[in-house]
Amino acid sequence: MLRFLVRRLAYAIVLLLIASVAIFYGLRVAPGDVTSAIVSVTGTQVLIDDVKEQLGLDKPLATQYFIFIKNVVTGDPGSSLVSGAKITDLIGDAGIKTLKLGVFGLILVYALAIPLGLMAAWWRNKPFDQGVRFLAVLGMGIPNFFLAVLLIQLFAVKLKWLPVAGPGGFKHTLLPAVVLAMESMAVNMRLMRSSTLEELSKDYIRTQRAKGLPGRRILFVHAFRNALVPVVALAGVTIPVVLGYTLIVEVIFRYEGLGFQLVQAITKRDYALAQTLALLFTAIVVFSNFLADAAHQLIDPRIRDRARAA
Amino acid sequence: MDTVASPWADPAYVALYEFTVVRDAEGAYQPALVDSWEVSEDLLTWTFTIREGLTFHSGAALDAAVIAANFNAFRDGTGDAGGPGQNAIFWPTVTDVQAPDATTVVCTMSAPFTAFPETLATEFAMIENLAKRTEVGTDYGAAAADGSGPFQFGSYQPGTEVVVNRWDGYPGTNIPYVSNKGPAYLESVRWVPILEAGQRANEIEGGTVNVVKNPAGQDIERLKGNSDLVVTSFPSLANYFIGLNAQQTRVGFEDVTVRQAISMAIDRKSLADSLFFGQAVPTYGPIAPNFKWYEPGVEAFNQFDPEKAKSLLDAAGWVEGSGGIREKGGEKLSFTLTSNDLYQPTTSAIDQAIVPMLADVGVEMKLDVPDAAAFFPKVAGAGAEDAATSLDAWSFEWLWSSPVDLLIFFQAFPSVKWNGDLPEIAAAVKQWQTAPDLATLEAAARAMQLAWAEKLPEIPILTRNDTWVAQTKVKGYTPVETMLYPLYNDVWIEA
Amino acid sequence: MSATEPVVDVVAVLDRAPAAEGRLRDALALLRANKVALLGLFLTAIFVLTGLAGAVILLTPGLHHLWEAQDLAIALQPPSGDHLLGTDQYGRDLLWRGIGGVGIAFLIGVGVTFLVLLIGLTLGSIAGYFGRKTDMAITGLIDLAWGFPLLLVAVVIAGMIGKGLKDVIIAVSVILWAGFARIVRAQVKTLAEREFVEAARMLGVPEWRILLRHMVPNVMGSVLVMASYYVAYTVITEAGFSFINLGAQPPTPSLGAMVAEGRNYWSVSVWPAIVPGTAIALIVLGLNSLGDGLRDIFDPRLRRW
Repeated sequence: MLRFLVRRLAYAIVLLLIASVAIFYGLRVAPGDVTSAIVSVTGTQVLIDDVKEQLGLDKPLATQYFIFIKNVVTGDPGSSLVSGAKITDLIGDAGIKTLKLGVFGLILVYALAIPLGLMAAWWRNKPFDQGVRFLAVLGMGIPNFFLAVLLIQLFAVKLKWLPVAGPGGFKHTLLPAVVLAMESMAVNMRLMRSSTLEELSKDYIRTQRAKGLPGRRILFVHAFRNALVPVVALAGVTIPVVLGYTLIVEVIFRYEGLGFQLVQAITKRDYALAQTLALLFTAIVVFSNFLADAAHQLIDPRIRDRARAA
Repeated sequence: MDTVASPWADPAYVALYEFTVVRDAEGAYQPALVDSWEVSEDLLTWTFTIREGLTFHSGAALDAAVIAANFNAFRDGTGDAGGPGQNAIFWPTVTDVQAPDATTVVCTMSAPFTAFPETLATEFAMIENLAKRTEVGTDYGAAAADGSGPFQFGSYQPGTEVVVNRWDGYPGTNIPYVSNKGPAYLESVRWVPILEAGQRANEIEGGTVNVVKNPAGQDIERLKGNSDLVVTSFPSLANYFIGLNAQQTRVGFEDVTVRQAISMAIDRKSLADSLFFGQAVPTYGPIAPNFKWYEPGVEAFNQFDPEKAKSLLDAAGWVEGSGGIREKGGEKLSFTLTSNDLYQPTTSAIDQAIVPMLADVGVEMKLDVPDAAAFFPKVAGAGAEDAATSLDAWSFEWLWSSPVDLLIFFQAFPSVKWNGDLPEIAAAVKQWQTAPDLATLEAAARAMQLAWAEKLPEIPILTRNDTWVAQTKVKGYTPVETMLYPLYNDVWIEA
Repeated sequence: MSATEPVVDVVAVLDRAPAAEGRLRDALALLRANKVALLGLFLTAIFVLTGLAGAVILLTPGLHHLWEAQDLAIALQPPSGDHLLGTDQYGRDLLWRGIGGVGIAFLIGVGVTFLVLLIGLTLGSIAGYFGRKTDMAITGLIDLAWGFPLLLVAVVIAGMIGKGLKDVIIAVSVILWAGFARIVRAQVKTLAEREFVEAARMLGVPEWRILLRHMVPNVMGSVLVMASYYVAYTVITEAGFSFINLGAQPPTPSLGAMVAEGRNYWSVSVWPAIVPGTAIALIVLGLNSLGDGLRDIFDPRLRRW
């Protein structure tokens, strides 16, 4: 188990290194550069060169890359090229917003998906199940940006129950979180439902049922635990998906978190900020994959045994 | 947000910084940081008397020496005297600035320069603490800013927000038309960009903002019907134009008749009425009709007339070719327009609506809409001086509080070669920059508009209305046609 | 007996019917019994037909006027006899633009999916079959691709090569093949340990032949199932990218871009946003349902990720 974790971790670090190179060069290949955001259209070449020198953009690319890595590793990624604000401050500020939104979204995903999926399997083909399945089909079919447009028009513009946009407390976070969560909620709900069904059809459950164990107990104690395994395994996908969607959702709702900042930084070619944020996003994805793998190991005895055998 | 070097005038400028001379609602010049100014009889020496006892937010003194240093930075194109000032192009007539004592600034001119207050009244001549700017370096204006306005710098995140907080040490303003002569009423002001035009109306109606600028045209009638909101609307200090690169002889853009034909093929009125729902005015010259020296003579040019456009093109040798696109000597009259959505989400939409209008007269226009950061390098970056490496055409919407200055700027931008050799305009520019009196200045402005409308270094299309929507509880917020953004001294929110 | 979950029965079908013919017959029978899958098939058939029509009007310059023709005088009109679904802000016909948009979705969806399945199938089966170093290298590649947030890749690629459909195709392909390769690898790995492979090896059958003859056909069920999911995924992703202006550039009628533009005119006319939005939802819904149906038939163990 430990060996597995160490190997996965080493692996994650290699991944991040490769990603950092891709991100670093990818951003710089893009046409245009940050000086156009800082220097005026009338800016003379003198002014542009001046700015480039001050920002360290006149150094060779490889040198810039190593400076970037050194800065990230030492925990001081420097300042935004455009605003001069410290990137750590920006991440702290925007990070809290994104964290709030993301956690809210993930809570919605699991708090709805698991019980609904479970109950749908239990009441299979009953109206409740049909409702859940309809919701799942809808959740997976409606693109999140279209859902956002519809929800804004209905709840914010028409009914005025919720704010149209902007970061803030519960009310501000509700609509973006729902949009963020919808698809993953639907996917996980379906998965929970089908894996519960699978469990319920297994011999040990039948045996227990034959033994006269109450149905509720069978469902919640035995089937539930095993049915959860694939849902946990999927967390490695769910978390990055939810996180990735913040790029769209934060822009639509002007929810000024990390995704919003990243999109801004890229369009302004604010390399320092963009590459740090992009690497941060990738790191979170890699790390959540790692965690999901680890959790999967822990709760799934079959894999655990296989890992031990290997 | 650095008045010397920033490429745009942030709405926070008027909260953070102060003008030396400011325009009132009629466009007349009023004193702000100065008490008064005098012009010598030979019109070559301007003497400003500076208010006494002023300081910046940081506590640093704001005296004549500081203002003189600012002026010198603004007019410094090379970076040797506190610049480089990005708008040095507007200061060629000023040859020397001195501060003989703490309350006097003396500017010496090489020629009479009646337009001087016009230049001083733009956001790019607002006074900032240059010592602080040197201390902070390139992060000045982003990580810190030091001005003398009623609000001090709070925080700034490009594309996200600007926050300023009331400066309790503000001594009050000199500006005659501002009624609050003490510190500001508001505790703080926060600006956020709302990029989706349709979302702006939603946000002001939903109450997530107190004031919104330029909601989408289609929403304005609805907002006017909302009794909780006050809507103010007038043509902005802007113009949207298409620039045809006169170096591109391949498509005949050096030929003024081709430029005129293309201009006549554009149905400006239907753009203003349909695309902007009436919230824009067609422009036949380079400046909108609410400018104090607007020249109505421009309306003789550029009127929508597709038949005339066709005959002009025929006469210029561009005749109907295959696929409905005109040809001359085997070359198709087909070009790419580099567009942008830098400041308004609607800019490239105008271009898109123009495509079929040009197609109707046998001109093919393709669109290229690069990212914000790639637009200017494409338009004015390396290679702009050469037909082979520069663009066919570009479109842009300028926004500037001194429209004539801006024409001077765009006549030279992105490259003088782009705009052809237009002696009439050069003469008008010269007249403007050396005008001994207001009458000459006005004549220069009018001449420039006429020459522009006829020779079309850039084809004017329309000017959007600036529409300000404020909640009724927001008091003292009065946008005027002569300024980009209203002052915040008098603004308060009713409980 | 449920409409969507003939889980137990299908396992039985698979176990007893190795012959493709028998399986196909059963499959058709199951499909007939599966109402959701039928609905999916129906919607997908409409998608394919509309997509083909869309492709034709997109790729035939002489027909561009259908979705390109502007008339500002009739902008933002509700549905009428002349314009069955109304017009957009340039007075363009929303029905034709919608069909063009479905055409884009169809071309991109099918194109990307083909690419993704090809790469995924090749690399996945090689990794699963040969194991060891090859497996480690390919698994590394899979994890690398799998680890990137798709949107981030799209944003970076759009920066590199410019916004447009090309960047969508590359971004989606770069990421999506990995998920499929993962599944194929796992399946092939299990198969490779089976006796018949061992027997074939001992008989001296070349490795590539075993791979082609025995492995690939065995995962074709998954390919079919995943194909429908991937088309759906690609359609929704392309729309998403176009919505945030990374995908198709105007005047190309991408459904996502149409929603993005149309939502600004909601207070005047809801049609410019509703038409493309609903079209995307129906396409995705249809493909997902079809995928579910196919999964139930071919490979009930394959879970939708």
